[in-house]
Amino acid sequence: MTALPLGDQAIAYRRPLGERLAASLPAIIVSIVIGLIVLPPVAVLIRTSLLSDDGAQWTLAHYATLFSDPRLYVSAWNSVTFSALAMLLSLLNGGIVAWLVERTNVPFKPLAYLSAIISLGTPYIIYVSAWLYILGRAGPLNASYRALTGETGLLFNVYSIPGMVLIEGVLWSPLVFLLLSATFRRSNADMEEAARMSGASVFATVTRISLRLAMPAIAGLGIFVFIRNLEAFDVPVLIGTPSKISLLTTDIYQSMTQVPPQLGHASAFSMLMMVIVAVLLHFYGRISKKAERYASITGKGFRPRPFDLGKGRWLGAALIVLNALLVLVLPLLAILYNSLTPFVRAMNLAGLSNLTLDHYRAVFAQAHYVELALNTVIVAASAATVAVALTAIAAWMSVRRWPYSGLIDQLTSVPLVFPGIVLGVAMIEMALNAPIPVYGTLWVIGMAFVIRYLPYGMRYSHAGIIQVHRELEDAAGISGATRPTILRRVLLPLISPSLIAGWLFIFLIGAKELSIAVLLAGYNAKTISVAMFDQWTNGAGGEVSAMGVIWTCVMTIFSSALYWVTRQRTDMASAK
Amino acid sequence: MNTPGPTLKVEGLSKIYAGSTGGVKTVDFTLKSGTFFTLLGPSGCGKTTTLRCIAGLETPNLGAIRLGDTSFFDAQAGANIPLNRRNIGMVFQSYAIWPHLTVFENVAFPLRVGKERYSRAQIKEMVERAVASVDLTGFESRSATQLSGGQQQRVALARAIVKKPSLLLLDEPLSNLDALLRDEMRAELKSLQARLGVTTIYVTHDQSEALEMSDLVAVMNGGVIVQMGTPQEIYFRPATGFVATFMGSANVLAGTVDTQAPDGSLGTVTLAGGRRLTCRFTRSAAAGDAVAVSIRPEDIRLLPAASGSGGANQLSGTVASASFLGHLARYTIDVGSGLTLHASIASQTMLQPGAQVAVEIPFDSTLALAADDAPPQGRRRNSQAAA
Repeated sequence: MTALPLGDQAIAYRRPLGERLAASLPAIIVSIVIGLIVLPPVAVLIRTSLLSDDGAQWTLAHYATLFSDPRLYVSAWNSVTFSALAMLLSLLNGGIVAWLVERTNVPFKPLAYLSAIISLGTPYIIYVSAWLYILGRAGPLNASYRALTGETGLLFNVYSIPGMVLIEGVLWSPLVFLLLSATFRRSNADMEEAARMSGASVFATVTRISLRLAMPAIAGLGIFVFIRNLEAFDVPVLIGTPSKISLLTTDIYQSMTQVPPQLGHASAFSMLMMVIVAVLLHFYGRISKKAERYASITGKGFRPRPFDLGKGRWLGAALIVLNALLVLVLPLLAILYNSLTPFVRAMNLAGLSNLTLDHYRAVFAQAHYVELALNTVIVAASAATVAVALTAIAAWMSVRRWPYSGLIDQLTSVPLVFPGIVLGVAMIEMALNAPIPVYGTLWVIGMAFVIRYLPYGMRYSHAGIIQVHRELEDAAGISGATRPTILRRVLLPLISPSLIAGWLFIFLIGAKELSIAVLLAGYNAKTISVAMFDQWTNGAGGEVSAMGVIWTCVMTIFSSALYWVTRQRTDMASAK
Repeated sequence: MNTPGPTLKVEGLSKIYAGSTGGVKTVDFTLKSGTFFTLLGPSGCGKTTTLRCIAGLETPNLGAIRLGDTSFFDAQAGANIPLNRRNIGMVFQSYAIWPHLTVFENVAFPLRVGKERYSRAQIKEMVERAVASVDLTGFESRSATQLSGGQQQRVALARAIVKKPSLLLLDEPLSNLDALLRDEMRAELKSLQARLGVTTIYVTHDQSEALEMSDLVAVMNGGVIVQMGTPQEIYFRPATGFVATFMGSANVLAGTVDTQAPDGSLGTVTLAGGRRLTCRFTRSAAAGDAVAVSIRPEDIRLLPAASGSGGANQLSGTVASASFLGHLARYTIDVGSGLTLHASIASQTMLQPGAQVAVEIPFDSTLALAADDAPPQGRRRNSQAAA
């Protein structure tokens, strides 16, 4: 065949400079904008961790102090134990329920979804305080133990690592359930039926085929939950701190709340945490890639056929009910009871006869609370809007491989390495040095939310755009549409379900976020989680509970909307 | 339609993707206005890349694409009209019907987003005409997702022609339809194209589609056009062993020319195993030239004993396998010297494996063609079926 005449007299086409600029500029601008959002926190932390306290010279002193302090290793050990055990608990609980609901004919399936959805919108501090009550000294568990045995001690001391593990594990079960049920829903029943046809029992099929296929997904989720437990702040600060159990996140919080705050030490500490998280994320990424290869989506008209458990399905039903009790009914009952009793007391007849709406009156009487609620909604909604709008454009460029869009994906995933408390430290340092007075305002919290939730926005936008066949955009271009017109008239309408779902998800987690906001909140610029945290530490548990009940009701509306939108979306995708 | 429209000229077009084997090495062709032109070839041969370059979805490295006096693309002059200014209609393999719009809005889209402005009444009239020409009148207010595959196909077609494009591009538009619907759409597409008189480029890997619909066919392989001609020329006078294989010849055998043979004459060729066949030469060849000998399976005659009739190669063989296809029976015949032939015969009487048969192949059906760089194998047919 003839060789390509490149370099001969024929001239290879090169777009004119203006055209090339016009083609590459949008992606370059978006990359720079994202870079300006996600990189400064890292830079600020590195700088502060290497500067001496008076800011005069570069030094490794903060790292030296950090690593020579034996308490670091105690906290690290506590954090790892706590995270690993809680991860195992939530994987076990959420995973079994997800498998029962998605792959078997167990009754009461809607109950599992209901529990997960309501818990999505509930601030963790509400859960934690509910569990502290249930398992605490005056709570129903220890009270009935004393009543039954005549002992005076405790059956279970919640102010301990097992107590923290139990509560954190229950907190994460609903999310594990939702994520794993997506994995099980997509798995191909043909492979299981092939195993059954080959003579395998249900048990053998599950252990040798289903579990093996889902293993990469489960392992990936395990690392993800482990990271989130390591970053967790609510349970460590509410249970660990009073019981003198130090963890990495609470250590950072303490060094920031000391007078004077030890910025250098906290920054060095934050760098250490970021490195740990980055290493874990690296493994998470590798496992997720493997999980994608194992995902057996077959496309058209495909329905997974559930296993028939026979009589065993009633055992399954019992597990689902138990799960619902743990993640939904018990905590909500406890919080409702606490919001109605004048002071914390055991759950008994005497208590029931003394119910009062005083706490609710107190909440509604103070304009401060309405303002708090409004603040929270405004900050969470704005952050969600900015993050989704930015990532929709960024994901479009990255999925369609615009020129110079190569860095966009990496840049948007940078914030994944910031534990909430670390981002809080970085934002404080940035706000203190900012030319305009933003310290202690809602702007800083909003900005921190945008940074933290950019990766989530990207995940939803990316998934939405990848589902849109490229030819749908090509056809619009051929029809005469310019790129902005394609975006507005074809792409945005098609990916709007994904964007709405992403928006709701970010809004929900932003509205209950404590660890970022706790360091950044000013006196007049608090979110509801921070206010509940303050009230709780001030001992006003009744008002916290009343606020929690109201807030949970409002947020459940949003989380139901999220669930509905994402269900629609998967229905749409499978209908094609 | 009486005034001749612009001519499409594609000259020295080349599009190489860094680090991949696909793409277009060099492609030239000229199409008179109103031609139904088909780019035919296996997957990865460069046919779709050629089409996407003409559409403006890809920017070529070299060459020029001109329609009349307009240069869509010219590497030397540095001209490149963006795709949304070329006024081309295109039907995609996936139809690319926008699921969030109705049929009417799908078809009206090119009228709404282009540079030209149309009044509401004009849009309505043009859309209705386009929808009527694909027999979808009455479906305008339906959501596109409620349509069957065939109907979506028609919507895509209506959208492609609504603006009276200067060029209509069709990228394997029938490959997602079931067999019955595909046959029906072939005829409709052809008659619609003839009515509109629009120059059309059709991309397919299905040789029967290409033969049935086209005025002109280009067979592509490895990024170049191997042969271009009318369907009859391509079918009866394939240029190379590859084209013959691609057009359904199951027996393509490598051999060398015995004595110099002019174009159209009969001559003898020695096959790799030493056997000698008398062939019709479609191109002149010198003694010692490597050639590919093509024998269509339906041109082979199987007889219980040699008839001794003239004008045919006479061989004897054993039936190696036999399969019943309904109207035809397909046999593999072992004729010795390591040679097996595929034959398709009317199926009234079936031969059993192991039966001794006389094999006759008319000289005129034994074609000596230019050899390919890579000698074609009998297996290649299967890889095309999968493509």
